[in-house]
Amino acid sequence: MRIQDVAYIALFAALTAVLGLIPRIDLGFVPVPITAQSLGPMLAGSILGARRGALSQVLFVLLVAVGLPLLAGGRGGLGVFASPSAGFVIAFPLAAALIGLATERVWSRLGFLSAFAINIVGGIGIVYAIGIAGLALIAGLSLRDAGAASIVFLPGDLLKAALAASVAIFVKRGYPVIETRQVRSDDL
Amino acid sequence: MIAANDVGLLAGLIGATILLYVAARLPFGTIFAALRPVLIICGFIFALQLVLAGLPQAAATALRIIALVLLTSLVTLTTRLSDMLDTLTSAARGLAPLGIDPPKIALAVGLTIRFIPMLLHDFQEVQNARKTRGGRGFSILAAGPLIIKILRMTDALGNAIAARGFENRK
Repeated sequence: MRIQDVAYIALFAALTAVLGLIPRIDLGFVPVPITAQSLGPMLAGSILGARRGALSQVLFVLLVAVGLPLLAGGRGGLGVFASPSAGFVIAFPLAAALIGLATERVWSRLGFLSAFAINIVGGIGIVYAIGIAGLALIAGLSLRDAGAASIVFLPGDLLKAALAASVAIFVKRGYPVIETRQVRSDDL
Repeated sequence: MIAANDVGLLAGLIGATILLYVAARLPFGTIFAALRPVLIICGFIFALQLVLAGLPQAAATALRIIALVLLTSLVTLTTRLSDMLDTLTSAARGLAPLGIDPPKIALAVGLTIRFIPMLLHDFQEVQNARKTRGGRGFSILAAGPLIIKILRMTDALGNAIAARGFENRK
């Protein structure tokens, strides 16, 4: 792996952390505020591709685990992984990997709609599947109730998937990272 | 432990954990600080369980979450960040046969920590530029150019590190 790739991985780990610092939207009727943090794995996967995207999210999760307060609301430490929302964070690497894999496959034909669909499946589908399973396990809820409790975040996450898709297309046109890697792959 | 449902057992476990906090000479307030992030969601789940499954189940769930969070937070509170990072690097050394390069992991950790204030600064810059022009909040239109800007900066940084021979330093 090139040093430039290490730098990209660090960049998107940092970006995921910074997205948790951007002012939160409080819905009022839900106990958990909506943050931009779940944009992290979406952007990492659709801009860096599967390998680097997933590694950036692994790095982010590891840094949270060792105690850096990088999660939205300044949370961090091992306690995060015992809290009811643990699954939503643990899912980040897998989400980025899947989004990256799908994005790389359709890369030459990637448009807004395909990027949007990929981000919905990976960034919402995967994250919700693991997150809801974790919520059900830790909070002792049935999968249905845990799912119902999480559904309030869906509109915000759909918005984030759309934003991630539009940024991904913008970056693909202006400064493609995934393609550059393929061109340079012979100098590895 | 996740399966423990006995309220008395869980309360005892929390009591024992609090004793560990005392033994670690942590101020009493840290217990509440450790619980603060999960308090709201814990209350929410308690209320939900109270309706769905009754008081014993609701109490057991809330106590279980509190016990788990207190125990895991204790590790974080009593371990220096540098020790945690050392553990991470030595774990990476064990993974070296899988093609993982420990110095690169250390570099990635250092870069991430350095990137965070840089990204915040860039983000604020864009917001201030918008404010000057009478805009309010963050515009989605700024996200794409901002990402390209930081990708470029990262490329330059990666090239600079590579040019200084980071990879040939073994």
